[in-house]
Amino acid sequence: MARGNADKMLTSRRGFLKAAGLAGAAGATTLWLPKIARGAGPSGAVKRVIILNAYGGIRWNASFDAQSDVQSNPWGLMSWALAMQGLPSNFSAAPQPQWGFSRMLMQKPLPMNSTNWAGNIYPYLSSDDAAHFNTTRPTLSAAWAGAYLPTFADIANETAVVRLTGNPGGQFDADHQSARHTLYTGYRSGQVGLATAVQAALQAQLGGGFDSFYPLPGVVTRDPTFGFGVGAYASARPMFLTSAATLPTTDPGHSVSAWGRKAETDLDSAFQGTRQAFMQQAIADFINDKAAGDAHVTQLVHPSLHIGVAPGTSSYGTLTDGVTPVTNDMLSEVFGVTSTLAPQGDVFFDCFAALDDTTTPTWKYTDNTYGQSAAVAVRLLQFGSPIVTLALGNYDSHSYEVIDPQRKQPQTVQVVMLARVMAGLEFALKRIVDPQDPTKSLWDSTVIFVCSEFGRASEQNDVGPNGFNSQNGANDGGSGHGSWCGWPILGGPVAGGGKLFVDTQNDGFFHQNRVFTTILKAMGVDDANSQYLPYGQFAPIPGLLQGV
Amino acid sequence: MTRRLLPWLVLCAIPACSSGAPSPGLPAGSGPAPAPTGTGSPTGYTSDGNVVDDVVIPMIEGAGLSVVPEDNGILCRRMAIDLTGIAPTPDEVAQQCSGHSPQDIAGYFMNKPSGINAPDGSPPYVYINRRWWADQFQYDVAIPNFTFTFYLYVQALDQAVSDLYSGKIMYDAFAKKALASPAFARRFGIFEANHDLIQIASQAYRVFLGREALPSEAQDFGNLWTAWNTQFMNETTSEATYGSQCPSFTNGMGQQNGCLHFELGLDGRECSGVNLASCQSTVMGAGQVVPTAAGFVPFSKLSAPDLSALETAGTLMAAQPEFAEAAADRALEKYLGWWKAGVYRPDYDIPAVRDALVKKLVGDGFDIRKMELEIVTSVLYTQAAALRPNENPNDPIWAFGPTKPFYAEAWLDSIGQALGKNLGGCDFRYNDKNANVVPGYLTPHPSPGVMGSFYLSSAEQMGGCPIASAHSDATGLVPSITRRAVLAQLCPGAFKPAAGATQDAIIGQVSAGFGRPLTADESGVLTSHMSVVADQGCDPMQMSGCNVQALADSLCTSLYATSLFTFY
Repeated sequence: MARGNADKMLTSRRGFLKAAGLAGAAGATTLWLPKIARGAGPSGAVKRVIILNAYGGIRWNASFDAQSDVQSNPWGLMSWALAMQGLPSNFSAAPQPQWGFSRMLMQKPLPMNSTNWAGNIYPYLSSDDAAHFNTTRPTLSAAWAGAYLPTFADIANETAVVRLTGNPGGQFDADHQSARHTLYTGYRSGQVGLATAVQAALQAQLGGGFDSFYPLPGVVTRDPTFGFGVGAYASARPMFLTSAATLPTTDPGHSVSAWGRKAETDLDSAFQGTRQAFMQQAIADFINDKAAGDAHVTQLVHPSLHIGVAPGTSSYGTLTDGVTPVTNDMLSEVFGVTSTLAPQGDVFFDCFAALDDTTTPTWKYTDNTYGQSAAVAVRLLQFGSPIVTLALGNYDSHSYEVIDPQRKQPQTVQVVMLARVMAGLEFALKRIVDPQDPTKSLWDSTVIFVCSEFGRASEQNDVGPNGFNSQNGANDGGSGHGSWCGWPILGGPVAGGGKLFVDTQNDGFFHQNRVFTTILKAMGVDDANSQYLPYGQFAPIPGLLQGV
Repeated sequence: MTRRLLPWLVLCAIPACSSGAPSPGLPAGSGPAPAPTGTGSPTGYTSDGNVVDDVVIPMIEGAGLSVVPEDNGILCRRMAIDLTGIAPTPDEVAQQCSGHSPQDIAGYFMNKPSGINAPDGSPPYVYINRRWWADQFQYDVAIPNFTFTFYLYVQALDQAVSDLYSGKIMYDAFAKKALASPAFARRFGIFEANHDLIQIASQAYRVFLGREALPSEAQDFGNLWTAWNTQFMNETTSEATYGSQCPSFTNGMGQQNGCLHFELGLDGRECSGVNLASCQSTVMGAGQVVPTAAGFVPFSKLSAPDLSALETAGTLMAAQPEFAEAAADRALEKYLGWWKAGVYRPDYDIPAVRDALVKKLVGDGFDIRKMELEIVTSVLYTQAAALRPNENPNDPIWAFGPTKPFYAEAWLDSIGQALGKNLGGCDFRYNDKNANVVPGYLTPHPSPGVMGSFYLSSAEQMGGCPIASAHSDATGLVPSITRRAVLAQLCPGAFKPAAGATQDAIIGQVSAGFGRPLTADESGVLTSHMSVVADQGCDPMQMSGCNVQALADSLCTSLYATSLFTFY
């Protein structure tokens, strides 16, 4: 029997942990020790990323990359004059973006008990009646100095859309699981999550400066695949949370004595060393999670991260004035996480009214996962995460795309909530100070984009002549899977705001990985440090972000 | 050199190799579990008729490796957790495992009549499989307007699972019952407003054929649920049926509305005339579900021919070759952990093992218990998980026994048992986490116990309880912090060493609930660190002096947080 090289295989994390010594691992990249420190950070314009994962297959060509043909987009395009109606006097009208802005993005959703497809529902969807749209710019409280919250139309010209697929010019993975694996790992058989890949590239680029600039690791929510990491990438894994609402509330850190922790470390190490490769990795993950938990629990139990649990007066960081603390109630207001805190006229009222078939909707923190997740994401950036992935909604709407009385997940509601969250992020990030640079806001260095495993292209499924696959209303409309995606991307470093980016080949579809390499390049990551996503294979998209 | 023929003293010269000198206060391990005897392989290890062994032993030997039986104590713990959902007690280790063969140990745990982690009195093997199937059927998802009947439907389907694992019905009969059940139909697509037959068919494919249905397959197979419909039951009709079971709810107007609900049943109008074709399926062979009555008939009042027709979906599925293959795969995934572990990790499986188990399952009349027994007594399950000196971690995974992490409930139940605490539990069937909202109406949740919602909230943080459509394996940062928090709350004072107790005595006392004896090496690690503390005269964490209680508390919070405990 050949003697295996046990010391080298799959143990980079283990090797690291041993080298770091767990108990005294200052400067160790795996442990993400919390620090209040300011390092140089990335040299490029982008320093932070929020990924909004609209999983399930959002209907891009009827929302953010909207087309004018009825089969692709039964809603039709938004009248820009209508989008700009009701503009406050101190607002400047935003130019109409180059990419297709669908009516769906601002339309008040129909109640879930709506009936009469031909006579009521379909005419409503395709109408320009101003009463069907919410163009209110709600006035916020004094804490925000009475500012107006923008609509999605107001930020449309700060948003670029990139037309892409997971495999341009090639076979389309039409099942969710396969397509998600590609979305999350970049390859059909990828073994590294793209959030991990981004962190690994940053670590390679920044070396020891990484930990000081990013006191908290990246965070992946709901689906851990974005945070997969094996072999050399294991030490770059983000934290995983089942949801933005499932943060730990108790700090057990002081329950373990120093000698007990050493004994624990020795036993863990010995146990890992006796396992076959497959399980060595699983145990290495366990050890790493435990070490990261011990290192970061103090941050994670901080009341300001517990939107909806802690007192609303809990705060962290300040606005760009350097004085005003950012309280939980302020974030809850901007993201409308409860009906009591949402500002008057907030489009969330329309959404929950539709879902609950009522004209006086009420909702609490746990009902508005969109708003709560976005608020937590802002906090995580403040605490120092380089990348946060949020899972918002479920867009697998073969049927019930418009009226979904059971699951309460029609695209007509969820797309509006998604656009609302994007507008909230723009507003909040522009006003919250960058913890690493008090002269700037978080918006200045943050990129946000929406993704999904695929879309719902009309030519690849069975939509009927009116754009829905159940034109008689039996299923209240819906559509099948399609490869077409148009990811909206916004943030201070976006150079191509308002533009539609299409490739010069493969019918205009980029490879999805090129969005990630574009971000990495805009962070200042050299090609040599982006080994998982080589720039030669996935060329950064020129003109999309600053410095690319 | 064969793995099996290595002298036991040599095997135990490495850490994590159990047995040898037991820790104080623990029953002695007995070395490797006795291997089956008989003639056979060049290594001396025989399959003894096990169909998995017939495939795997030649593979192992063909790779130049050999079979090493697992240590008895480790195997005992593995089987106890897998087959009953909780680590074995010291008495079980001593009386049911030590000196017993894998067949004996498996037989004991599969037939154990009751357990503290099965609060409704079910045999633990049955109870944990009911919970496992609850993930497949996703009972926990909230169903507006259907709570009343949905829970009754769930109870009926849960009973079918119980019958399956009690050996009262076979797996093919179970599939017929499950796919004919209103719980399945309601959960996956028979809503009062719309019917999503594609979703029902797709879930049927996932559960019983182990794969996604092609769109055309789902479209066709979904026809077998076309006849299902719902009917609103008012107070009068409900109370005529359910009588005193109706709860005394009142609405905001002060009106009693306890039994207002929707009910599922078959509706002949869905299949009449030109609609007949929409009630027929051909993709797996000709079949149809056409109600005998012209109008709606609640499920509880369906005629025998209608109930028989409803079993068409299960009958057709059970006739597919994939049906038994999927059953074998699911069982192998459950007991081995690495089987078909997905694209992230190497996609391990052994087609010949699956084939052998399929033949056995079919030959045994779809007796799921026999198939599971075959797996847990095979070398894939009973061989040593730990590497031996000079072995290569990259040797094939099928040459080693499984190492798996606890799932949430099993960890909590085992911790509670080890620390002598009643943590309560949660009911995997219902999403009403806050328990008995309707006393005497819904089956009450098991008592949340003395810790209130402690069990529920802790389990949820670790990916379980009641369910989240699939139990996660309790990895990740939040589960890690949660385990720490649980131990921080439960460990202080859980063990009360006698004044002047020795370090060995404290280790023995705290580790008694570990589920197996600690090895001398493992105890040695603990002793060495405790000695340092004692020499320093106080605890570095400024605990209340270096008294025996502080040592026991500290040992508890660390030992039960190790991978040694969390993996099995």
